[in-house]
Amino acid sequence: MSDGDYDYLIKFLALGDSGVGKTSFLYQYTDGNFNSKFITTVGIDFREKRVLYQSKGPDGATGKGQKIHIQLWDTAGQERFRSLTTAFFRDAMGFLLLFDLTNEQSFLNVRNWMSQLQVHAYCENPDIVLCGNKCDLSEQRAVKQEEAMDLADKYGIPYFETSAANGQNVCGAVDVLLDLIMKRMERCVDRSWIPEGTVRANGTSTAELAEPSEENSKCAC
Amino acid sequence: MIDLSFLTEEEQETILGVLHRDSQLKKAEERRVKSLQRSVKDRGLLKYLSGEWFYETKSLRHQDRIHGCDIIRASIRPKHRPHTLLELSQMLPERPSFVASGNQEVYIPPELCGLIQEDPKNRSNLCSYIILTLVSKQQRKNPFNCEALAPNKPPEVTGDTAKCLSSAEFSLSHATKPNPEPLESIAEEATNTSTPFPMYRRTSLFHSSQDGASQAHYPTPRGILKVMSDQGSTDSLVSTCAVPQSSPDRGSAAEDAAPTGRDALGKQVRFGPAVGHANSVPLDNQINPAWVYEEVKSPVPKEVRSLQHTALQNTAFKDSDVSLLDTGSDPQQEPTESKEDVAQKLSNLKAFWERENNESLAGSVKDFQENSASGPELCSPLLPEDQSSHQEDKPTTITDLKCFWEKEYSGPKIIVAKVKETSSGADHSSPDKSEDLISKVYPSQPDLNEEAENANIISNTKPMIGKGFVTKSLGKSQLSKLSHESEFSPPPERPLSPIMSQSSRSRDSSDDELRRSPSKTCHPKVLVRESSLPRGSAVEGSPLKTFPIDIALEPKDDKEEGERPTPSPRQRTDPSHEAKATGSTSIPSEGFISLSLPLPPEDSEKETLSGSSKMFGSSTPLVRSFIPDDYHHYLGSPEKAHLPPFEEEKSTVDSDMNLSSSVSMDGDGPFGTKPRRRTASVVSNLSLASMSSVSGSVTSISHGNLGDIEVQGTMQFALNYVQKLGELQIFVVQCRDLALAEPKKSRSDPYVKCYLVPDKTKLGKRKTTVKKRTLNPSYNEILRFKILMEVLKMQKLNISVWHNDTFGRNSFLGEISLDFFEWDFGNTQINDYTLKPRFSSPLAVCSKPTNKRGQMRVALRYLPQPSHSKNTSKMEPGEVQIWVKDCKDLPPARGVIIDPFVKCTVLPDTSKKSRQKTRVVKRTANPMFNHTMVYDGFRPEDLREACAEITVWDHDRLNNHYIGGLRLGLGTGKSYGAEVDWMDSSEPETNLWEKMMGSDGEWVEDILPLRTFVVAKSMAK
Repeated sequence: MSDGDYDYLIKFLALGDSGVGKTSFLYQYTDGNFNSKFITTVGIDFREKRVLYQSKGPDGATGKGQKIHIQLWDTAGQERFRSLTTAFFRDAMGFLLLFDLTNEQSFLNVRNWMSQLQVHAYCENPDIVLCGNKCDLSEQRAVKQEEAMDLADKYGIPYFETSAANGQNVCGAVDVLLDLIMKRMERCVDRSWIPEGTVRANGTSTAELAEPSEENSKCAC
Repeated sequence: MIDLSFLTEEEQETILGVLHRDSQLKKAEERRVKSLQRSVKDRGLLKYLSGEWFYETKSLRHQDRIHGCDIIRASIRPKHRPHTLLELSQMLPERPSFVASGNQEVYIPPELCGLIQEDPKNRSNLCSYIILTLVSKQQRKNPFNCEALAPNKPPEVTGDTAKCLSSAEFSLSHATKPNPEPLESIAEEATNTSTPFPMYRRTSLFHSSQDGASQAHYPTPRGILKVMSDQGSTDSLVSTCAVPQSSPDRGSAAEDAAPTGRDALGKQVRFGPAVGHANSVPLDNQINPAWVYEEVKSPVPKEVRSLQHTALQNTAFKDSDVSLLDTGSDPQQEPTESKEDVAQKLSNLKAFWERENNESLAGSVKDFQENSASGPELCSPLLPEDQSSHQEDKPTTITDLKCFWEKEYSGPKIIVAKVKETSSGADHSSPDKSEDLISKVYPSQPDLNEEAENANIISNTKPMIGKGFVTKSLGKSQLSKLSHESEFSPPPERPLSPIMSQSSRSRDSSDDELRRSPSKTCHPKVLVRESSLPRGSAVEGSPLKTFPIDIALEPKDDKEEGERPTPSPRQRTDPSHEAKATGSTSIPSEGFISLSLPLPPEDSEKETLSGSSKMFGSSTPLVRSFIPDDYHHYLGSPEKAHLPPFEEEKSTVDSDMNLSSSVSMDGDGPFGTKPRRRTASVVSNLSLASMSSVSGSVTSISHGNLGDIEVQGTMQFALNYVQKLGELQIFVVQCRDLALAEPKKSRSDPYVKCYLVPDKTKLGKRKTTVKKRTLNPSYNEILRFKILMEVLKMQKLNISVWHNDTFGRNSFLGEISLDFFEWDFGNTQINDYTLKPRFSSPLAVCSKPTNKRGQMRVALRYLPQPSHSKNTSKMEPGEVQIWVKDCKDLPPARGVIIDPFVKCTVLPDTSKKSRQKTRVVKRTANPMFNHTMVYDGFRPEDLREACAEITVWDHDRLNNHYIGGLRLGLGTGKSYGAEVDWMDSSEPETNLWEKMMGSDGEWVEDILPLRTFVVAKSMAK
């Protein structure tokens, strides 16, 4: 699987309460299958998938396809694994935040998950896609679409109603997330002009220390 | 490090399986990136393809490149101890995972990789097994978790990083189970702590200290052991960490340790050569700094010399080592029993140290002793001046211990750095060493000759090995670990820096006192003195001055007193101090100096840094004395650990071994936040100080010759607020199509300048370099402002382009203003902005928010007859009492919360006599002063002509800044018939004054808004 024959390795991570269907979601995404049996994830797991990404140029023209290897981390939603799973937050480039449309508590907990992400992710505003899963169980639905939309709007993240059972929107959600990542990456890389070291040395550089004194001597402007 | 003890074996297996898969993926990724590096030249594209962009971003936040899975793996590993060897071999290859991106510099150092690879080869080797297990055991202290402190450093620094990590971890473990162990140890230490500075006393004293130390640490082992086992992870990182730890065990220096091992094994001879090689190696530049450092610190004076001259004599070196080792080795094995040994060792150390000092420092030693002598006086009468008589004294012991400590510290640090190399060196040099460790080492030595660095490393590593052999039984190793811990434990505490807390406490208490009893005196002067003295000194940041006060305030606790002697820590932590480079009179500074002296001349530039690191180290003992409660208290705030590790960053920039060593010291304390923060503030202070003078140029903003040039063009920049650093970064990319500043010469020499407004004055400006002769300058520079987000939100960014005219006036080429209040800080993209002409002075723009100057609660009363004069006539003048209670909502200045204080003058008298001021309350917008100023000599009719001018100032060492004020008077515009501009009280002010006049000696109080006015002459300043 990981033969290195790809252009990008993109790491996603699915999170959300226990039982919202993260594993099933990823399974559906990578394998196109669904197993209704609930097997709780032990700590962490990941799946991989290779996709072709068509980047869209500024003019809307599609560039050449890029081979993307997606590593999808699956995390245990159970509280007891929390310390373990959060350690992985920092390594993911994008997040699939799932909740269960039939379980209101899981929706309410989205807020907590978001704050967890803000703390542990690689940056303060990582790319996240909110997924209301199990939308196929419409009769048991406990969370209104508008509520979820509102919440997603509040965070400024895309929202999808997905079903790991029938595959609805599963690919769509991941694709959108991928798109977000690729866009962000372009933005980041745009900054490659920043001289080496300056970016990394995210602290006071010696140059900066020296700076003020310089200013002292020549302060005219 | 994460506590994963809740996981069942099965779960761990499962997780490890996942991690294993992940590591394979990472390996593939690494291969891919490597080939990319070869094939893709475009750096931008490479960043993109390799995912480096991600790691860069991440490092901005997490300051390390450790993967979650590595943390987990490290956390899990311990349980599988039995399989260590196998696992290790399996896991080690995964190590490259760190390298996820192609940038070697940023990622895992090659040396580490070398180490990693080495292990698999030796897999079957019993020796290697031992080593590994040793490593894993020792690692406990070195946790992995650099999360808090994690340095984001180039590879050379890795060793240090590892150390940092370890320390961090250590602290973490403490954090998880904070109470029992730390407390106990602390208490123990507290008794010891009273010693101020290293006094060279009898070694016999050492016993007790050693004992105490070991006992103190006993409690820890449990926790630590557990942690260790957790850390058992085989990651090369960890293994490197382990090495440093081992050295600490050894006692002081790495060399010492090495010999010990030899002794036990009887392989001394072999080791000797290695050491000798190491000595000869000094020239190698990579190692050099660190090496030198070590040498200096190492007890053996000869080494130092040898360092400087490449050619060395092995024998001499060896001998000294051996002797040291003899004494040193024993303690490790049986820490408790070996008091005598320890004593010897210590004495040796001491002797060495002294010698060293004498040789290199000459005077410094004296200083030291003086310090120590004076220290005791100051703080703890208990401390004996006479060494011999007080040998039994614990304090002394402590000092010795401390010395010991310091050395140890230096040793480990250095070792770490070298170890990496060693491992790699060992790799190439001895491919076929499977028989036994020793043999392995042995063969490698010849090679080492060739590779000097390796030699160094090896010598260092040997200690470990030797130890492994020596301490075959777990118990012993544990003991040694304990000793390790004892050595290590201080760091966590150190950050807590009791001293700091104390000083703050004492200050608080003084504040409290003041608050409770508004000081009242008939004589203004007295008041002034009273209030200003303590305050002033505190403000100035010179601990010495504050001392007496502290003592007076709370003499209660012995321990506290013991702490007092240790101004040095405080000093270290005290930014202003360093900035000032305070005179030699202060104990701390002396300590500093003497400490740094040992450094060889080459290091002089870094002297300060390394020196400070040493100070940290040395301070530890003192810190230890800290009182448990306080400790608790500090423990309670682990979040602080997340504070930006400025020090680290700084040193990172320099990427020098020495520097990094200082970093590691900092890192030692997970809660090291205090010192670190302090140091950070040093930086900012420095910049502040220097910047305040810049303020003059600010005027250019408003008055510059703006109209001359038609503004055109664009500027490209990005904004990023780095939460972790509390820093606003402005990436100035480029400008396009700038106007021609000098049409005649048809050139512009543009530079970009930015201010945060309204607070230009204090934070200063930031400028890019000047680009000559271009209308399309590319800067690619980052301008930084250290500023709190909350404060930033109240600011505007004024970023402007100027033509730099060497001889004439710089000309304005356009500007952009952004209001941070509306700025989306999530937007870190590079954006193009059209340059705008300046319509209004930014000062004016910003003056609006500043209109809010806060308010003051003040009470007044007029006592016609001073209470103390019984037989006064009616005509006797009375006194005006002004009770400045508190202020609210004072505006921040210079981008930070201010340090407000209040001055008062009763006009028309502007003489010094008339001036009074309160103490400075640090860092608050809502200061509580509760200060009463008394002015006497007022007849009732004088009140109509007088005006109390009460002004609030932001204290700054160089120049106080005016915040706002009140004028309490009748606002008649006249005083004694003369027209005065200060008689301009507002209505509420007038009301209060009138109320006072009619209140008949009762307090009248009001809350009045502060306003701006031109302070009556001579009040200013």
